[in-house]
Amino acid sequence: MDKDFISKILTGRASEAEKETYYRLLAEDKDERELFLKTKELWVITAANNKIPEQTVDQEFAKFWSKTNHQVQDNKPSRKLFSLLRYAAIAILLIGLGSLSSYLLLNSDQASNHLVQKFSAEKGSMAHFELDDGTVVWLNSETEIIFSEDQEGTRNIELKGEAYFEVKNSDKHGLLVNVGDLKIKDIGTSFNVKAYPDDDFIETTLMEGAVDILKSNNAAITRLKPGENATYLKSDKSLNIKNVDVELISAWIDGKFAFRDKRLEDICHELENWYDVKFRFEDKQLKDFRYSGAIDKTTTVAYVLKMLKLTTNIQYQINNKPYEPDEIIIY
Amino acid sequence: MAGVNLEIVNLRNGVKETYRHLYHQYYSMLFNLAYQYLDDADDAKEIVQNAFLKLWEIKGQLKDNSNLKNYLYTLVKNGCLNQIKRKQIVNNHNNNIKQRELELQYESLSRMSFDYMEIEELKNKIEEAVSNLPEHCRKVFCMSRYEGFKNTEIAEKLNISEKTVEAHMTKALKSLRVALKDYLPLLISILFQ
Repeated sequence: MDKDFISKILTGRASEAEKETYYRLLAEDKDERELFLKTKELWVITAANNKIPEQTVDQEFAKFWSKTNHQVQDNKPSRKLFSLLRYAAIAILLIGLGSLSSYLLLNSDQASNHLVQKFSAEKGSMAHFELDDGTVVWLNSETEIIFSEDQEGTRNIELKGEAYFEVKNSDKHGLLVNVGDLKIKDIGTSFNVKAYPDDDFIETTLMEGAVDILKSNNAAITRLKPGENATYLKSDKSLNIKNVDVELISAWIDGKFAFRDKRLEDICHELENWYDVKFRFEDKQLKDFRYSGAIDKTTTVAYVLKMLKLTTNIQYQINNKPYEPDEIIIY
Repeated sequence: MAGVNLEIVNLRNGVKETYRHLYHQYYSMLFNLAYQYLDDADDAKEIVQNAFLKLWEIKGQLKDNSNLKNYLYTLVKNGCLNQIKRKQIVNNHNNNIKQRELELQYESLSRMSFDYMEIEELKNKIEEAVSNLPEHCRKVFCMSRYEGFKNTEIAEKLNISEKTVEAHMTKALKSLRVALKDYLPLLISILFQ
């Protein structure tokens, strides 16, 4: 059978006669059919990213939007809340004066406009969004932030995990990132903070602008310059500042692991955070092997291991575990 | 670990910019999917628009952890499957070849999974695999797939026969299947021969 049939069919170049022959073959031969279907899927997938011109998308969006305005809006929610409050107020008034004071407290809370928001990214994924003030935030795997704004307009962020911030409009109102032992105060910047609760270290890297590192009691420790990384060890409360390649630090935003001269044990620790795996070194010496590279986070862990194996003679075995993270043994 | 999702809040409230952003994020992929299976740009545009309109309809019910990507994808996929079924009924066995084609389209699309929407992230891998193709295979593949030239046009431009163009295309597809096997874990079961 002419093996070029598939490509002819997919490109629409087959004649009616050829189509007839080929389709009959597909009806009779299961393997041929399977081959065709698999190739077709590949064909479709390679077309997935053909970029439609932005103008066209804008036009299509405009058409969509004009259709939405003709739909009946169901904007009841805010009205429901209002009536609920009214009834709640009446109920409380009926109970007695004592209760009235608690109602007022409740009321003033509503009026204070105290904004508290929580954002998170699950394991093996990232989140990317913009806060009300225009600050752009990226969250790495297993990261949670709680964002709140107080009366003076100072913005507070409580961070557990790793986040990259591009802060906007910070001339009037400061942005304070709280990671337990330390606080990082922004002064108009782009910076990366890595503070996973299970890690012994807290790392702050400054890309642009300036940040102050403070103790949890707000006492200033130091101010970072662009390109500087401050690593704080929780165990001995020490702070070490060094210059780093900021590209390596922020590679995760682009969905990459990037490391230069990094120990295999540390690399595996990163992989454990992203993939659902657990590493075990049977040969302890291998922990100290150093690697440099950049890997797309979309690759399988098996492929990452393959790549590592290419440069050194490490062996590994992957044990699938149904209800736990897969175990990978390095020897 | 669900938290407050700003995007979902905005979608629930019908914020135009958020919908516009969603359009720019997913329109290409959704349209390309529909177009591959319906062969008609107007039909494809309508199916994609209907998907977004459905999202608009149910926006009040969106949850913080709603997966918009998968939701839109499913709507487009099902819209296309229905359209193919409709075409089959209209064709009504009048044209046997057309019927076979529609059958294959239906079967192929049925097998397509959410993984299709992850293709954006795997784009680099695909580009890399394509760039690693042997010179002529790559040229032919790119001219056909990305520049939309017909085989006759490619044959003319590259000064080779149409048969050679077809052979190159077959080789390209085969190479890509092998090359992408390791890079696309989600599609291993589909591509592994």
